[in-house]
Amino acid sequence: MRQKNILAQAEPEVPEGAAVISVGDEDSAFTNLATSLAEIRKLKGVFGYILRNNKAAIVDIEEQEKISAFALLSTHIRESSFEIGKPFNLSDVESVLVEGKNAKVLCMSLGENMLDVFMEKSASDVLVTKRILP
Amino acid sequence: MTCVQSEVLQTVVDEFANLSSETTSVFIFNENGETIASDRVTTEDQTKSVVTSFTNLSLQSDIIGGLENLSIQGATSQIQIAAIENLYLAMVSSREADVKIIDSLTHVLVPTIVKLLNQQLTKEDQLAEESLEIPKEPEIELKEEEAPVDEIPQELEIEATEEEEPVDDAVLPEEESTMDDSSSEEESSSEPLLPEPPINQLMVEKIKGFRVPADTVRVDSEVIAKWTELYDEKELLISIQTLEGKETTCKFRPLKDSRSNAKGIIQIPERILQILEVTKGQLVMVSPEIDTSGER
Repeated sequence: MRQKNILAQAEPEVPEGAAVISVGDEDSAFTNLATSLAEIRKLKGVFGYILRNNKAAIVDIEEQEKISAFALLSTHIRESSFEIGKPFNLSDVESVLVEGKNAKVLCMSLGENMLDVFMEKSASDVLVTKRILP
Repeated sequence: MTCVQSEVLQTVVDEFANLSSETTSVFIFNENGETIASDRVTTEDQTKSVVTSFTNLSLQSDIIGGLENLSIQGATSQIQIAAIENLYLAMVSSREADVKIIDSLTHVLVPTIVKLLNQQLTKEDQLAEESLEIPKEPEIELKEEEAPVDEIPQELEIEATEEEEPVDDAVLPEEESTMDDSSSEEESSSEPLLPEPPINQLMVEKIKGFRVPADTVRVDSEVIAKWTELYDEKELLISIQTLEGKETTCKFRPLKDSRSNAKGIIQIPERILQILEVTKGQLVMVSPEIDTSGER
């Protein structure tokens, strides 16, 4: 599902096959992030990402049958990080890195925009962060 | 996780404040959510909250192969939870904390200590298993060895009694005397009616001559008569003990000497004198001992 008309003005590089949902006006920050993530997606070991805010979302994950599982995981990560940080007065979570045995997830909050990058364990999350926050 | 291991980890946790002043909270918990070690600052509610949320997230993380490490970055502080074998190390620190120090603590120092502790635990388990197995082996070995052990002394005893007066080769090892002691103890426990062996003090004399048995002493006949009376027809040996504590057990015979002043004398061959480290004129304590070797 893709709605290119909304994103057309900013001309973000939306990867072929990526699911794009958008409602309302364009958001330059969102558009810039979408462009960055499209580049990051090409990095070795990065197999997907989710970019979302209140108005739009882009989901690009290699194995499409796992989209819902990864989306659910990213939601759980955000909720749990909030709960873990709360007793230590760490409410303003900027980023969360979760590593499993096979893969890792980098979740970031940039204003209203939330992005999750899914990558293999060997991939560099530092490099991904640098690309998002130059 | 043993108490000692928990104490080691507690010490490590306590040292975190010294190693990284930017660290505000450190604790270690296990897979069951039990807190193994915690610093003094962290409250029970804080650890509980973290453990619960972490466990819930862990349950949802199958798609990435479970949850091993979690790093949360806030504006001013950060939280790291790292899986170390079967434990989890949680650390809260300022964002100003040196990343290298934090990394070396969470990914090098503590994992190394935990690995060493686990290795120690494995070794202890193995030793415990081995110690449980050990009693079984000797039982089998003893059974196998019992037969020859029983046979050999019997043969030796027969030889010894047959050789009435061996001139050169007679040897009285101390081991034999100790064996006799233990067997006599066993006997005394099984036969409580036997009287307490009387102790006599005798003066040492040296036996000379070519055909003197090296394993037999000669004792005042009056002393022997009393022993025979006490122990009826039991085969007796003589236990000789010096004032210095040296002791041996051997055969005995009555003195051949017909001198009237031969009372209170024990005549000892050269070999036994050497064993006891006594010389002529010294006093020794003698007592009868039931010879159990013939009963085997």
